[in-house]
Amino acid sequence: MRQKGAALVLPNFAWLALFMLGPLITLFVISFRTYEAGRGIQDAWTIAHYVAFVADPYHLGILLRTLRLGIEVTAWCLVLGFPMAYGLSRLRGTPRALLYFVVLLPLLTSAVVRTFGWMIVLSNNGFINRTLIDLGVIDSPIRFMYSMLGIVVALVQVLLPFMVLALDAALLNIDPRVYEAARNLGASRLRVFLQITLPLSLPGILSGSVLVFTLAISAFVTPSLIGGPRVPVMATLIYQQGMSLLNWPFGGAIAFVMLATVVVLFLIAMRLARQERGT
Amino acid sequence: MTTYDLEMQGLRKIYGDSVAVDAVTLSLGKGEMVALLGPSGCGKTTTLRMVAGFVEPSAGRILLDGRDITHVPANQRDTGMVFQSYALFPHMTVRRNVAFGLRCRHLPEDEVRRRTAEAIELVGLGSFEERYPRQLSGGQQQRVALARVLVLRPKLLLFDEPLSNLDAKLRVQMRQEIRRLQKDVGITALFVTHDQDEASSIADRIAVMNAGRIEQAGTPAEIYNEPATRFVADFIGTSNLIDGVAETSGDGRMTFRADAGGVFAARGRASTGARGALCIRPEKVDICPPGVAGAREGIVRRTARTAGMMEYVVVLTDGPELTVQEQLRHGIAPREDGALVGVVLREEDTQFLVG
Repeated sequence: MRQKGAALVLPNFAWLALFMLGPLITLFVISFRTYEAGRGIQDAWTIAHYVAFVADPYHLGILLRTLRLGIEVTAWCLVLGFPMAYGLSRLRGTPRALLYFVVLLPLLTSAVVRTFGWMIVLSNNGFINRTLIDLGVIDSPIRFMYSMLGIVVALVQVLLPFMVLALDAALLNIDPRVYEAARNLGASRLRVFLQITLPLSLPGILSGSVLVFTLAISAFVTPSLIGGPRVPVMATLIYQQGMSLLNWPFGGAIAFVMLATVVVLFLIAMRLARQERGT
Repeated sequence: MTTYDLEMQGLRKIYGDSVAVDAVTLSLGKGEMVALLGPSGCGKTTTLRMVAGFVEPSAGRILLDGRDITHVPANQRDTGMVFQSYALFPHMTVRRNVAFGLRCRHLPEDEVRRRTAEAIELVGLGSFEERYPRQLSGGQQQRVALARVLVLRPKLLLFDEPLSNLDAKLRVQMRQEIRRLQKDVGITALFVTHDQDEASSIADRIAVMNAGRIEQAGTPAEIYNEPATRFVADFIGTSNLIDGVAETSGDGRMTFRADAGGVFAARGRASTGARGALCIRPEKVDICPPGVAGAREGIVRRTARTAGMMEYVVVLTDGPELTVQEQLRHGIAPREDGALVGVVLREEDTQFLVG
């Protein structure tokens, strides 16, 4: 049984090893090579790229902004996604299938098309600002474009499905009789939510958050089109170093700083999840 | 003022165009345990859930200790429900599960601790306080579910098929224990089950439900010995049901003509010509040698041996077929297939049922 299971994951594992792990290791090696402008990657070893990143407040600022972006997007997805997932988990049959489809809709358009759509909606003369100005709610347009706010709005839309589906899976796992038992024992609706629903959906909250956070901080198209060069994040910085300046060692170093950050956060989340489950 | 603890008056629940519960009226005396018994889909669980406040009745009233609770939210009804799936909180230890209801009532912490410990002791789980539900067996989980409601001393206990997930031996043991605990604390209880043995052994009275209605309510003996309807006679135990029409009737006694042939004396009231069935329990028919005075004659058609008992199908010379049980005592040989036998049907054990 275990042998057969292992055989089933082998093709996928080989694929990952070849095209994911291979380039990653290559890039890791490159990130320790020296780089000379105009002459490219050299054979000498160095940790200067890592030191340069950590020592430069500008680069650290970008790392912090990226983490902040991840946290904001994750928080909004949680706040908006939880009620939606709760509703979804309570539906059955056709209504559930329809709502499921609606939840998935943002994933069915290409990132570029979707982002251009957001640019039309969010620009100074766009739908939102024009409407608010015409209604007299605001005097001057809200700056969505080329700002964190715009990136957060656009990313929340596209990443919401991941959060909703993770929460839905967790909520579906809860026996509805448990809610009834809590009500029967005298719990108010607020108490049921805080002491039953929330703790029991924690695995979903964690897995959804890790997913959304990771996707948000590694997003490239949305930050580069909506944020532009005024609001660089890690992904656009890596792109700039690697593709525009051709400084692969430094780009690689930045990439690994980010990877290390994500891995650490992931391990913390795993630990939290294990604690909640009890041992 | 009122002698009843729980009163259901004309309770009705309609889903779309199907009637799940239809005009259920039932009253439970103080400290009484009543079983709602019926096949799946008969509306017994919906009735229970209306009393608990999880299902809004389409019509009717529910009174608990004289107070109308028909529209009171589920968390303010002061009932304690034990679920088929136990519905323990999986992320809480036994102690926190049992303390949950007390905490909802904002009681002082030392009282919460004392009463929780008492309740856990009451169900004999003293050494399992810090375990999680998944670390307990089914029977232990059921005890936690019991302790969780008993600790609140509710006005009413509600049981929703609480023993169906247990194995046969544990089921019998747990029903005695539930019975004992319920009598000890003296809390009125409504117990939903589809198992007639369970209902008979645990309840003071049984309400037999069918298609959303209560067909009959009475003590287990009444239900068994004097079924009010054909459904009850058929659902509880086994019965011979012989179709036919009433002939003469008066003074609670009557004569009955079977469609298959033969005239029988029976208990019951019916106008002449009313259609119905005779109900005779197989173990209440006496079997004897042919030719005994007052006995009908018939031929043994099928025989089956169960533990210590023979079961025969006897075709009466008059026409109808009867299933008959006979205890195998020392010196009595089982009847042979095709043998001619005498059969005694006593009038008081033969009941006419309309319909």
